[in-house]
Amino acid sequence: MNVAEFLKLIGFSAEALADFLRAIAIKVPELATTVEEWIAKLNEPLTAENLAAVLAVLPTELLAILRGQLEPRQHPSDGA
Amino acid sequence: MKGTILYLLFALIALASVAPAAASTNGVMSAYVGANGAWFVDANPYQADFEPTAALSASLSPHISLVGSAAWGVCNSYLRGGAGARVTVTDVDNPDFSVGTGIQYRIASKAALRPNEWAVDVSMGYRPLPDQYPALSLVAQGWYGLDTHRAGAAVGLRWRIAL
Repeated sequence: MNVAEFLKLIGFSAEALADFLRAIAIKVPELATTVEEWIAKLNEPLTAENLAAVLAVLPTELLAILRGQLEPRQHPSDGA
Repeated sequence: MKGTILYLLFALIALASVAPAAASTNGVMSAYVGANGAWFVDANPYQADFEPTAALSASLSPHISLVGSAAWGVCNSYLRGGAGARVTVTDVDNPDFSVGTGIQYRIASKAALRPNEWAVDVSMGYRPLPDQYPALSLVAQGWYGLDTHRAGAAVGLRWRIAL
């Protein structure tokens, strides 16, 4: 499974997103390379093994949070 | 109404429980300002809008964040927002690209975007120019209402303000 397929699972069209981004790239040619890089990210693998690994660490992280032991990261998706 | 009050109480308790640790740990809280293009499914008469947006997040662990945001629909004069939790499912040590999925309680000021409800979402963020503009990111989000089964999507730009 890749990111695009994962988006499709919850009813979000990755194809529409890619089309929208390409339309932006046509209007703003300076962003063309960036847009293509971002579209390529949609095809990055998001394997079941990765998801299982995430689920496995959640209880440990929840316990650490409840103990006040915070370990922040920077996730650009948190701003969405 | 009762559900909304219960949710707000829950959110306040959750925030109060992590606030002392968050205040003493750098990098937990972030604020964002930006703008979205937003599209709504089955929210007649609203179909799409342009939205100035503000968001707040608390990264509590490598994978778990609390998130909240508010957006103003310029064309249709609505205010909508949401707050909830998000789990990052991609490499947590990559600050330039991430995908997160979670659940938020979504509220809106106009009937076409109601009822207020819990919605699952998936969000993607990408920093296209981390060296020149480290605060700038492109974001996209899709959501699906658990009660109404209505979906929506937003694509936009964010400017991160570390708190």
